[in-house]
Amino acid sequence: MTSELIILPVEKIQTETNKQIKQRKNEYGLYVSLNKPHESLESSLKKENINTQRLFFIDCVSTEQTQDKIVIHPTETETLSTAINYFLKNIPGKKYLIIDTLSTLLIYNNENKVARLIKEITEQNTKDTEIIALSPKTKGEELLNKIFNFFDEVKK
Amino acid sequence: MTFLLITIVHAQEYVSSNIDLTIPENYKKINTGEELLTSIKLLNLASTGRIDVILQFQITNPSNEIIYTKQETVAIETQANFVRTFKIPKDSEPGKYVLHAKMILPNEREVTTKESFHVENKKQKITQIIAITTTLLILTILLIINSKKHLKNYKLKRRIKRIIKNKITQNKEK
Repeated sequence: MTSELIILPVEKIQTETNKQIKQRKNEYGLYVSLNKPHESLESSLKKENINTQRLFFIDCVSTEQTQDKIVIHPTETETLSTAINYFLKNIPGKKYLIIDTLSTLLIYNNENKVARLIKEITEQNTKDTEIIALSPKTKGEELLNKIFNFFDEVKK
Repeated sequence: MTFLLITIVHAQEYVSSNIDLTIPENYKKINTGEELLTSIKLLNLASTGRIDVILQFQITNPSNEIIYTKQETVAIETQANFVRTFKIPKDSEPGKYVLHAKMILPNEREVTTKESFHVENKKQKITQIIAITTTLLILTILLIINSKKHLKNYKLKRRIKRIIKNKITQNKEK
């Protein structure tokens, strides 16, 4: 398993996310969306000619839970960690995890809780998995300072 | 001959004088702060007239420490029956207590007896019951919360498994 943290200005995050998905078009991916609801995210990805057939989504924005999608409120970090872990363990073959705008979690949780979640995710012993987390610079960069060490690589 | 007669008289006195202590069944177990009721029977069959005897009472706690002493003089002819109560202090430790009674005859001969009883701390018992009940209640609540969490996780995992299976099947069909 490899992990990468990409720190970008907020306006460049979606472009970078699309680029990361496109680079792995033959792999299954798990997209943890903290910015857009599942439906609008999927349609915006399709507009960018991204095949969403190989993407699974965890929607942290919608409020309505339905049978065919996983909706987890950002405050439920334990459930989020369980769901990510279970997805990655059960998706066959090479796969990746994309978490857009990590900093959004800070709106709902304190830094330590978010850092604990990131630690749990990056420490998961799942083979053939790449973790890509994107985040704009946070105020005072306290969160980023706490989570730098959990990633194999940090790109600024 | 005289010496033998005196010995026989003393032996008769020894056999005939006695103290009998009875704690009624419903007082065998009492709570701290309550009164212990006892029935006392003194026998002086050898004596032809009224005599004064000294009665000494002592109560010892489970650690064998004396927590109560009392002395009184009682007049008996051949037999005396009476009731005595003893207050057990509120701060007494629970356990087995012993009431010792000693009768001292005019000739300074002593006759002793003892009877045991149990002291319980009602307050401590109630506190223990409350503590056990509270612990059980907390454990039950924690168990329910834990079960709910497990059930939630189980449902989530089942849905994830189904979503993965559906998507992979769809992709294979294409």
